[in-house]
Amino acid sequence: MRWPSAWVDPALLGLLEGTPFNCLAMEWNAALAPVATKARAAGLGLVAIGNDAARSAGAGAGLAAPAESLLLASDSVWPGIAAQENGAELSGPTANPWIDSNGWLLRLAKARSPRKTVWLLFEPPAAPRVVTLENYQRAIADTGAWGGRWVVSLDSDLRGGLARGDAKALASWKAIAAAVRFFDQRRAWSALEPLGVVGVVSDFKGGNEAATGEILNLLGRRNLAYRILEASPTVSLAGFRALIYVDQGAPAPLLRRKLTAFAEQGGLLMAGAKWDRAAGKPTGMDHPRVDVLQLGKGRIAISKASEPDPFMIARDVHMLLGRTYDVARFFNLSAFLSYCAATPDGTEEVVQIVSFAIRFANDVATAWVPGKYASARQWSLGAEGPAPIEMVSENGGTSLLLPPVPIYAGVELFRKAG
Amino acid sequence: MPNAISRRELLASIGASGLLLPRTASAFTVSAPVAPVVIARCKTYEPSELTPVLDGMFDKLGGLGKLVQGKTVAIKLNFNGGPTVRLGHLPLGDTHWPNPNLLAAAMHLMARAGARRIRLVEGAAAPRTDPFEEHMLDANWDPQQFLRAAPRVEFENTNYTNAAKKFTRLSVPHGGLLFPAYDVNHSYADCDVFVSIAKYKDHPTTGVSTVMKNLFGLTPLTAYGNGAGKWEDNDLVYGNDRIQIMHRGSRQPSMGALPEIDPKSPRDDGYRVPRAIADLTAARPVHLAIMDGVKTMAGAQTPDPRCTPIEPGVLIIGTNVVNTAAVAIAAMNYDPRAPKGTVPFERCDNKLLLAEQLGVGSADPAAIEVIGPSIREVMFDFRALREKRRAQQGNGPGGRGRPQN
Repeated sequence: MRWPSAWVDPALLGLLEGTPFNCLAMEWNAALAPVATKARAAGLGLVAIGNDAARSAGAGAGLAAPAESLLLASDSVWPGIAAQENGAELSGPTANPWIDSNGWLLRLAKARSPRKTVWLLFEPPAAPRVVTLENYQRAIADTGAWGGRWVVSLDSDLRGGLARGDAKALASWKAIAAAVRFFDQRRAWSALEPLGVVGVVSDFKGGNEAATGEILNLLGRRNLAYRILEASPTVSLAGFRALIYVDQGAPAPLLRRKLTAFAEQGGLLMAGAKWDRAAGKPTGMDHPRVDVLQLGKGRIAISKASEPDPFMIARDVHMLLGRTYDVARFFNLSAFLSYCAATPDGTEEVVQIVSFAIRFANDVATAWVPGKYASARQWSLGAEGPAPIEMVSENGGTSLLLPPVPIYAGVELFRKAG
Repeated sequence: MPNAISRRELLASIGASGLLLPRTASAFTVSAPVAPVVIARCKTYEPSELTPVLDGMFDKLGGLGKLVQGKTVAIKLNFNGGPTVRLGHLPLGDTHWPNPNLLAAAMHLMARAGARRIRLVEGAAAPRTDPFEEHMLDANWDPQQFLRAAPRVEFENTNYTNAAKKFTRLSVPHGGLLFPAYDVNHSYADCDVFVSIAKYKDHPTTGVSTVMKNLFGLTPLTAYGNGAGKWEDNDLVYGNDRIQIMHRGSRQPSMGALPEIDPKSPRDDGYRVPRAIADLTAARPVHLAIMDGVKTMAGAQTPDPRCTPIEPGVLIIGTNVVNTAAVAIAAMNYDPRAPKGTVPFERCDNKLLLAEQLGVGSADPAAIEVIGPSIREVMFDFRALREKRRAQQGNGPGGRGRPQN
């Protein structure tokens, strides 16, 4: 956790007893020395964070530098429904609330560095915004669901309450620790392979970084399952139905041949405006944003704009491909994100839902998945254990009858009877 | 004649005063036709039960062949609310959308009877470039089910002009009650046979929702919706309802559609929406009305915590949309001739009587030949559920619930 700079009383380390927190990230000042001494004695790790001066001072006091695995993500956000300065909800172009989430960032970091643990450093919003326990649980879920870890940081109200020993603050603290522990105990889920037949191919660098990052973000907001592919000639395209490649500049010849072959063999390739249109035959499709060409057995959709809108790319690839290939559909969840992953042999799947708003209290949710399963169970934050999920056959697949999902649900699906 | 008053103005003023809606046709009304309505019990949506029941109903109605053979059929679906909103865990076809198996069975029978082409039409709140079939998939419907049901099936999102490039103007015979004409997607005009299929259920604004209320959705959102004037160019969705223009009259339609007849008429949705529905039933005659009462819900048109899933186990069909709606409403234990201020029209004018006055059809069940079980035999007591809701919440249909499109 991020140790508050004002917590100079070593007695406050007592709050960590029985929690999963085993390392303190400190923005060093000399007054923290007694805390650091006692923390070391208790076996806790100490890491220096902050600006260069603070990290340098911390190193001088014996604090470790952030490990290689620590991602000091400057673009990570406090998860939630985005708010304007006046507190009103911010809407996206479809008038749906805009969700701030780190899901795509974690997916990208994990795809690029699969063996590293990805930590996020983001902080709760400052006053006058009120940060509730539910906000903390959602922040932990929005990190944990995608296999990341948050350096838990407390807002001023909770810091003050805990320092005073306030009962409500202590209850919140226990619930926060429990949520962190929940995801710690499910690290195996982050090793599962993401589902989805849409691939985003990019080098995710330089001028491509922002645009492709936003495409990932908005694919997620549509709950269109995607997988991340490095723009490499050796990349495997097996199992994909659609690819997005909108990097600036031409792809390397080998990669280009591979992407072209993908379309010729029946796939959908969504490409940037510079892609050679001569390769395909016009389909006659009247579309405001892409030219759709027939290429062998498949199609290539070439952007008409030199800098296509990531929102529209996410939508257009979904609609050109079709919802037939959805890995899940969700009902009665109004503002939410999902992540579906499976074991390599496909015998177990996990569907995780992070919910940011619900329509009505007690509004039960349904998740539909195209497969057939022997059993399913749901994990929720704060619950003692998993709850069995009733399954109903629907439209050739399975509807999972879920209770209300105000914050988080993790559903395990088993193809064989256990 | 400075004091002269037109028939339209007279109708409007009488309606606004609450004096409208006599129990028998008045001197101002056009003769209201009657046609047989067929009722049948049907407990499930299993094709093995549903298809023969529906087939028998069509036979009792005189046979589908003479209605659809060699014809282009447009079936207006009743997709109200978003595709991902359910009542509890129930699929939409069990609560507030017509059931897909019923639709497929009707299509199959129409194809067998020689229909040349079947076009599924609805104003789906989806961007222009989203295929209508994708809206169905979003609701977890399978469009292939309909493509398999008949040899030539088309899908059309009627919120847009699409291939026609412009809307078609449907004028209301006798001048109209709210608008003199309505601009609609070409599919509503370019069909030989027009079919309305819907559940029967409660409705906060108009008391009940049936095959008549379904026609309110003929009005394209691009011209009559909250985002009218913003849609066609930017290919985005701005809202999915018609509250501003149709319910409240706070602005006039877009895209060249005609303004309303009297901008000084009440800005009350209980006045406006029933008139728009009556207008549309006159402007776009329905040849076949199919009421899905196998499974439905009571309490509202789209799911909310007030709603109760129910299983009346009944299908009702007819060739006159007002007659069919009147029989269905009677089977809900409501009086289809009830005046404004009484159940189920507590705060709205009675759209059936308005349509009756326009000569669309009689709203008097006693005048309508009912084939099959009697209304009483298949009655499901929506009224009792309504009174129970009101006692519990004080805000069931008839109260001031959230307006529903």
